[in-house]
Order: sequence, then C-alpha cells, then structure tokens
Amino acid sequence: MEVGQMQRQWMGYMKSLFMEGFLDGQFLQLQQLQDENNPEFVVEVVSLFFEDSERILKDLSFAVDQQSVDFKKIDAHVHQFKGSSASIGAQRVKNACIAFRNFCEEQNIDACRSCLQQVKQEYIHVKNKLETLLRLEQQIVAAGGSIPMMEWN
Amino acid sequence: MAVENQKDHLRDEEEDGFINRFPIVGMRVLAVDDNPTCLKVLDKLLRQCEYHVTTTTNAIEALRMLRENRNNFDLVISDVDMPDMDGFKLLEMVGLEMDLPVIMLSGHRDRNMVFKGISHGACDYLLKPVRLEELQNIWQHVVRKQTTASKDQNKASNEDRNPNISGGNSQNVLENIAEQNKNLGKRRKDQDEEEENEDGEGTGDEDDPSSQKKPRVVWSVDLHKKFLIAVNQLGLEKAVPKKILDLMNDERLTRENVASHLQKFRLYLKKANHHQGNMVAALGGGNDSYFQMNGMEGYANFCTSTGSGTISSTGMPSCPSSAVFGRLNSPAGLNMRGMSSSTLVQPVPSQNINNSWIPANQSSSLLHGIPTQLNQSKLNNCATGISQLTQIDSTGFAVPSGFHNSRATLSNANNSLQVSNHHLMMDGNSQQTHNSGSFRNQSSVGSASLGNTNAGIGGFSNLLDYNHCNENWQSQAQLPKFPANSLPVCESFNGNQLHPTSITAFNPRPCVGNNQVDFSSGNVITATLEDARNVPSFQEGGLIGNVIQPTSYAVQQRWEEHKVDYSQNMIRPFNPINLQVSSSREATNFVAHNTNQSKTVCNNRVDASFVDQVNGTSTSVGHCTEVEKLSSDLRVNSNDAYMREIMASQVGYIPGFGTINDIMGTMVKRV
Repeated sequence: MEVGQMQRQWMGYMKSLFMEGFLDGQFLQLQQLQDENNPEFVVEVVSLFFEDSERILKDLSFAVDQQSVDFKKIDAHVHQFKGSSASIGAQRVKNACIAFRNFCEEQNIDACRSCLQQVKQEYIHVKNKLETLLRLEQQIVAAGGSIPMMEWN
Repeated sequence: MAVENQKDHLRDEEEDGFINRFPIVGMRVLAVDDNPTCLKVLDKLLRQCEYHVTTTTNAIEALRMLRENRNNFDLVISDVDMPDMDGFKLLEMVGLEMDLPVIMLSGHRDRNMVFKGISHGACDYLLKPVRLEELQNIWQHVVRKQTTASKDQNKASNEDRNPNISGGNSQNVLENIAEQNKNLGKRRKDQDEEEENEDGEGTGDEDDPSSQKKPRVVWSVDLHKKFLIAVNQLGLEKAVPKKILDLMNDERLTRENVASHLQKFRLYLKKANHHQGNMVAALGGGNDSYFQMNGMEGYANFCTSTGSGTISSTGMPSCPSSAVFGRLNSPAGLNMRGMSSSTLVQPVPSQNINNSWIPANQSSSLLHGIPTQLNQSKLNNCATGISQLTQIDSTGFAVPSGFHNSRATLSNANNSLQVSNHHLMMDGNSQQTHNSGSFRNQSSVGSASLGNTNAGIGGFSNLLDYNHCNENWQSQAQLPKFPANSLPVCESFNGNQLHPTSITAFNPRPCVGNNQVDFSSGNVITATLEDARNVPSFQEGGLIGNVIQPTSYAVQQRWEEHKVDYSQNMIRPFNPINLQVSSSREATNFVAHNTNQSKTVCNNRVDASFVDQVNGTSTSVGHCTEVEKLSSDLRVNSNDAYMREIMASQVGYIPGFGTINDIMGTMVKRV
C-alpha cells in the first residue's frame, strides 16, 4: 500500500474513532504534541496507559471480589483509571469510570461489579483500536510518510 | 501562538520596567502526580510550553527535592489525590516552607475541592485532563509572586498605601495578567469559591480618600507574619496601628486595616490565654504526620529551646499528653512537647509534665487530630497572628533556615498556630540572641517554620519542624546558645534558656504579636514532658527559643523562677496560648478538652481526635494564679468573637486557656 493510501486510511480510522466516541480531543492534543523531537510520544504514552490500566484493572478485580468490599479503595482505583484515561482521551473508558464511581458512592456492590465488567470491555475495545491505529502510523512512517495532522473541534 | 504572545507581552512589560526579566522559557516546574500516564502527558505539555520540567510520582520525593534547594524550582504543580501524601498537605508545606507558587491538579471538579485548594494556598486549581492553553499561562503565578515580594521589599515606608500606585503601569499590566489568568482558570472551575476566597477580610478602605478603589485586604499568612513581626517589635501593649503599619511597610494596607486586624488579634490572644492549657495539650496533638515526620526531635527542640530550665521549674502544666503536643502541629506545640518533656522532668513539682508530654513521641495523634489543613483563609485569619508570630519567631530564632528545612509538613493551618508558637519561640530566641534586629530579618524563616506548624493545634507538627529548625538554628549564628541543648530531658530545661513557648500557639489568637507570650518560659511545653528523654531533640536542637510557653501553670511557676530569663529572653511575651499543658498525662486530655472548647484554636480544623485527647485534662490548667494577672495584662477580652471569626472550626477551646491568660498576664508583667 502506498503512503498516501495509508495516510488516508489512517485519517478515516481516526475519524471513526472520534465519531464513535472512543477518543476525544485530548488524544488529538497528544498527537499534536508529537513532533520530530519526540516522534514516539504517542506510542509511549499509550503504552504507559496500557500498563497502568492492566494494573488498575487487576487491583479492581481483586477489590471487588473481596468478601467485605472496601468501596473507598475501589473508588480510589477507579478515580485513578478515570484520570489516566482522561489524559489520553479514551473517552468511553472515562465515562464508564464515572458511572462506576457513582455506584461506588452508593455502595452498590452488584452495580459495581457490572460496572467493572463494562469498564474492562471499554478498555479492551479502545486498546484494540489504539493498537490498530498505532500500527498504521508505524507503517506510514516506515514507508517514509508522516502522520497527518488532524484538527478536531 | 499563545506562547509567543506571552513572550511579547513579557517584552512589553519589560519595557515598562516592571517585570524584571522573568524568563518564561526555562521556568522550572516540578510536577507531581502519582498516575504515570497523567504525569507523562503533563510533562510533555509543560515541555511544550518551554518550561524546564522535573517530574515525580511521589510527593515525599517532591518535598525532598524542594527542600534540597528551594531555588531549584519556580513553580510546583501537584495532583491532589496521591497515595503517599495528600496533595493539600504538600501544598501547604510547600507554601509555608518554600513560598513557591503551587498549582493543584485534580480530576475532581467539585466546589469543595477547589475551595480547599485555594484556601490551602494554591495559586490555581486545574482540572484534569489539563490543556496546553492552561499551562501556558501558569508562569503568571510566579511573576506575580515575585512582583509582590519585591514590591514589599522595595517599598519604603510611604504614606501612600494605595496598592495601585507602585508599579504604575506595570502593576496594572500584572493585574491584568492576573485577571486573565484567573479568568482562564475560572472557566475550568467554579469561580465562586475563588472569588469568595479572594475577598478576604476587607477592612475599611473606604475612608482613604486618595486611593482609587483599593482591593480588599486579605490577611494572608505572609501579611500576618509581617504584622506579627511588627507587633512583636513594638510590644503588644505598645502596638498601635500606625506604628505597626509603618513597620510593616506594606502599601496594600491602611491604618484601618491594621487597626481592625490588631483588634482581632488581641481578642484572639485573650482567648488563647484562656485556653492556654488547652492549647498546650493541643499542641501536643499536632499533626501526626508532622509529628512523625519530625519526630520528637522537633518537639524536643522546641521544648528545649523554649524552656530551658524554667520549664521544668514551673511545673508546666505538663501537657498531659505529649500526644497533645504532637497534635499541635505548630512547632510551638512541638516544642512544647519537647520542652515539656525535658522541662517537665525538671523540678516542677507538680508537674507531671514530664510524663505526659512527649507528645511527640506519643502520638502525634493529637496533632493529627488537628486538621492542619486550615483553610488558608481561615488560617490566615486566625493564624495571622500566628503566622506572624512565626515570622517573628524565626527572626528571633535565627534559625530560619532550619525551619524551612525541617518540616514542611506542617500545613498552613497549622501554621497559624504554629506561627504563634513559632513566634513564641522566636521571641524567645530572638531574645536569646539578643537580636532585636534579627527579628526583622527572620520573618521569612520564622514564617516558614511557623507555617509548618499548624496554627493552633496543628501547631505541633510545626513544633516538630521547629525542633528541627532549632537544630538548624543552633548552628546559626544567631541562635544564642541555648542551654537548650541541655534541655534534654528536663534537666536541660531548667538550665536552658528555654523560653517559655507558648504552646498555645494553637490558638491563632494568641499567637500573634503577642509578645505577650513569654517565651522565655520556653518550658511551655514542658507540660507533660514526662518523657523528657523522649525528646531527644531537645538537646540537640537547642532551644527554639522561647518557644511556646506552657501556657498555664508551668509557665507561671517558671516565670517566677525564671523571671530573669524571661525578660531577657522574650522579646515579648508571647501569648502562650499553649501554655502549659497540664501537668500530667492528662494534659493531653486537658488540651483536648480545651481545644474542644476553644473555638478559635488556630487550627480551624481541629481533629475530633485531638479534641478528644484534649478533653481529658482540664485540671491542670488551674494552677497559676499569676496567670490571672497575666490575662488581665493581656487585655484579651473578647477573644471569643475574634476566635470565632478566626476559627471556624471545630477545635474547641481548650478550657485551660483561662490559665493561659493568667500566665500571659504574668508574663506580661514580667516582661
């Protein structure tokens, strides 16, 4: 596939991610921060996000499965997750976290458990999407092209 | 591009001669966030703004870096929710110790959090995820701080207090920037709190005919510190608004501002006196965290410095619970403890001080209780006195640097109390050092240290710091050689020049300016010094100087015994708010009790636990008859009003204060 085509493909993909709410403006900002001085910035941040998230999700699963559930702890984890997902622009994950926190406040363990599932789902979703996107980017760069700049309001 | 626009703007300002070459590019920012993803993004954004960025996920590490060299950084940005330390605490400590602008970051958008941030002294509060545009303006906070600082320094005492006058255009420019910045921030957060907060205590500016509309005067911690210094220099009895105003040399204030503030301060002191006993206990309480951080040492230092000798003799109302002291974040409190332990050990006949004290050791629980997080505003109110005290203290102590280093942990709130404590201590120190001049100089230090101390109850933590500071102080030239070192455990107390520090520092009220507190007693805390040995720091730290005076009884007795000391040591008797923590283990209870009662304890938020602790001891307070006199001298009569105003909080008044007043009275007389 030639560069131009890849680039168009990339742009189409990005647009769809935005339209579907997987990503928001924050991700765009990250893209904009990437430059020739720091060409791997987005990849680095996203990788960091994945690492963090796996860890948090593990902690969350553990906490939710306890006999006596510590809602404060769960809330703290979710808050963390919300923060990191917001930082990279993973909008749906962030929204799922917000809903999760509400149930934590209510101390509704069942709702929390299902929220956790939902958060996990959203995370896996966005992870796949991002990996696809980044792979595309790599290909573009490897083929000598550059990542298009996207403007989003 | 935004950044470039700012640069242009900067250039314009430079042309106006206003901004002294403040380099936005390369401004050194310390970013703290436990979430690695967020931190990385923040780091990149900051670098994009061309700042020089250092990051850490660990708040303690951040503090360490800051303490290592405060001049390494221009600005701190910190997340609020962090596992190892509350962002607000970090905020307070940085503000107090290093006086750096701090910006809070949080995913919480609720008003209370924003309010909390601002009242803890944050320059700004940003919501995550942070945007580049917001970060591009943060340099304004640094400039503003620098400008204010230099204006204060440069300003010769002039009649014109119009804040708009100096700087002329530049001032307006800066204000515009500030305005813009505020607006920017406001878009992202609830604006009301900010506005509410910024409307500090407006004082009667209206009658200044020549001025343009002056902004309401907010008695910030710094301003209050200056106030305390001035009052200290003049002597509480002789402090008149005009003279204070001249000494403070701050164009933002009018005589009326100072007058009303002074009135409040006096009231505060009065109240503090009443609750001195409580305070002492409260002091013990301090912040656990601080306490722990500082460990007894700070405390000990404090105590030792304050009380050399006298403490023990007077039978400081041993802060029954050293814990109490610990609680008192204020350094004074700490000192008290230290002192108490050391001093207490001493001869104080009745004192169980020794026993109970070492609050530090014990549990800083009391302090913990005390919500050090005094809202800045509140803190300022109450603490102004305190903070001011601290300043003064610092000067006195001449160990300003020490303080800074030591314990930043004290929250501002604590500071207020502590300030007073500090102040007290400072006074002691200064006296010891015989440097009245030093008084002036120190302000920064003192405040710093004080800052740490929790105003009021929180003070203890400060004390801890204080103790540390004390150590530093000792090294400093200024510190007189306190026998404090000798403090170690009571014995030294007696011998040492511990100045009676009024532990009461807790009460914001008392602290300020009251020279009344007779630091010389140093022993203030001796109350409960029972574990004199627990207060190892005493010895090393050297006396904090007149640190807190054991508000109640102990002081009294000591005074008698150490009259000479007092007068020499204390520049002014600090209103030992904390005086004397009751002499036995109960002291803590006492303090708690007192604290409960006293409303104005410096720490606006006295912890319930603290209070509980304090609750026990009311008895000890009763000792000093002299205190009666003291109180009368102090003329603190309607502290309540002041206190209430200052302290919104929970801290109850320490019943023991009554004695404090007495003590104060005595002290005053002595002095």
